[in-house]
Amino acid sequence: MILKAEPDKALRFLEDNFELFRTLYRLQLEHSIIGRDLFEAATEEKADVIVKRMLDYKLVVSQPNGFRINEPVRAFLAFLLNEFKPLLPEELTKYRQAFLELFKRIQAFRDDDILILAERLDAFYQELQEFLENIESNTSQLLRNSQYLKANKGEIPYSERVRRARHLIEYYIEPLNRILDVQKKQSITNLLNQVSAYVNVERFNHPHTGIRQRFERLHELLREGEARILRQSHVVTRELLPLIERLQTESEILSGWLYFLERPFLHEVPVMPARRLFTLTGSNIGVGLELFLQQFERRPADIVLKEEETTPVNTRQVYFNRRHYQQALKAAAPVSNYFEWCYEVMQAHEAMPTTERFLKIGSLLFEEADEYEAEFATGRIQLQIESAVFDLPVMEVRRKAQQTGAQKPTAV
Amino acid sequence: MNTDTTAERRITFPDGHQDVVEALLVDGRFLLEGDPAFMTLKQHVDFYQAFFRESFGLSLEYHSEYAFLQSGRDSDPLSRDVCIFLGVLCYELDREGYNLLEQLSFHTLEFEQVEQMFEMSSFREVLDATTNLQDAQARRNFYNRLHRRRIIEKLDDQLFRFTPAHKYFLEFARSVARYNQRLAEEEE
Repeated sequence: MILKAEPDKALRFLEDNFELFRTLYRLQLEHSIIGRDLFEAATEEKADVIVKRMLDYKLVVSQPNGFRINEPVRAFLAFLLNEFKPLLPEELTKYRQAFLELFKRIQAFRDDDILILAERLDAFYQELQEFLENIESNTSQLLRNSQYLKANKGEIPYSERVRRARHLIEYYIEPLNRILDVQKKQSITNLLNQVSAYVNVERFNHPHTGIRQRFERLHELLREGEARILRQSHVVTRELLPLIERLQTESEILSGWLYFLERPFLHEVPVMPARRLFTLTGSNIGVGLELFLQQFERRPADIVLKEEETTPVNTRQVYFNRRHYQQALKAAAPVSNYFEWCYEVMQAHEAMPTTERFLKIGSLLFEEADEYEAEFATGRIQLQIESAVFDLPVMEVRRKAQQTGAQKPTAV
Repeated sequence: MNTDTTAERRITFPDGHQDVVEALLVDGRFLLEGDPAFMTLKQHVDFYQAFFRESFGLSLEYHSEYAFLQSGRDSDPLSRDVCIFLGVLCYELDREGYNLLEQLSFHTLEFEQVEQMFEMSSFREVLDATTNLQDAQARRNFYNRLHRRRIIEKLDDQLFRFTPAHKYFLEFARSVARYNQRLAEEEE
């Protein structure tokens, strides 16, 4: 009871300081109680008289560990702001107990004072009204929470969204569904159905007019309530559950992809369907065939060369001893000027040095690319063989360090 | 399985057998619900499971909306590319406020729109490092491969939609998330 002001004055005070009350309401919604430091921060810029009045008018009450908005005021603000904390289904089940108890007493009424029956009926009516309002604000709040999660306005990380969605389903939505599900024997809806059947008979049968009227009124509310509960139940099953389930799946998929994209080239990947090409030959037959044909392309050139020579066929001329040069290169490495070295070994070994021989020796390095590494030095070198002059870079050739002697030179 | 045990043991194959084998084995594609060959497969799942296992040592993955043969390879570069592609696409779709599952399952997408998302994506580095996704030309070839494997269906030059096969990869993402969630919970 407000002792220090007229009711309308208190209401005006609430209106004048509505922003402050909104802040306090949200703080209380979040923390259940407004801690002293939070309260001081919220009222810092307000005159002391406002804080004093707030307490005098009992709009806010002081408690050992902080402040609370007085319960009737809190409910009024919740209604005005349309912001609630969804009720835990456990909080809603208390109505079942109340309904059950009242229903039993109403049924058991015999020749007691008629007044108590009327009062019980009124109480039932009152409780039912409250229950329906709570259910409605609860589902709408849950729907809002889910939509908020879905739209991800708070930019909550995916894994956190999954956790919150799971929490909503497990502790709020599914239990709420059980309360509303008329099929379940333990559900409040089921109990209300039983009450409805009884009330429907009594509203005609009861001998007392006043009581008949009360039964009639309760009957109407029950019928209306049935429709309202059905609507809420639909919201839960049709909108809330799919929304939250989809949210959970989507967030799971997205957070999965994010984990994957953190290390996309190291993460394992799902097995894919394989293509199997059925060919009679191996996959590199094309390359092999080309190489095979290339040797025939070159052969006529060799033959022409031989025919031009007037001297009898000299095996040393015709036969290019690749192995000799390979071994020579292996022994000589590292070579500081590769092409000069080629020129010298050709002069030493070949009876008739030709450009063609020189090119063959020079190409040894590239055939043995696995074993050697080359590095260009500065400067160039001119070499004359027959009528051609080669302008060549100075190139240093070393054997690769890690492979010294381990790998045999490829046999010809 | 239709077997005949008269004088000699003779196996008869279901109608449409060749289509099933060609799709799954030769083309290495997803077989989708609505495909006549999928119907054949559905009616003879046990037979085909045995058939592919005995003949090629491959296991058949059969789901209500799609089926395919597991390659048996440890790692498939195309699979990695698909995962990167879908991962980035899902992220971008969500960022732009689309309903992800609805968009992938029921809606058509424009190549143009997807291209824009990839061009602006914050996963630029990952895309640059993925040869098949790094630029528009590479992605065009990639779309064709996805179409051949029936992961997407190209409706024309501008439009495509995902086939149910994409769910296989989404399931993969979910399993990754669950695995990491479990790890996180164990750490707690």
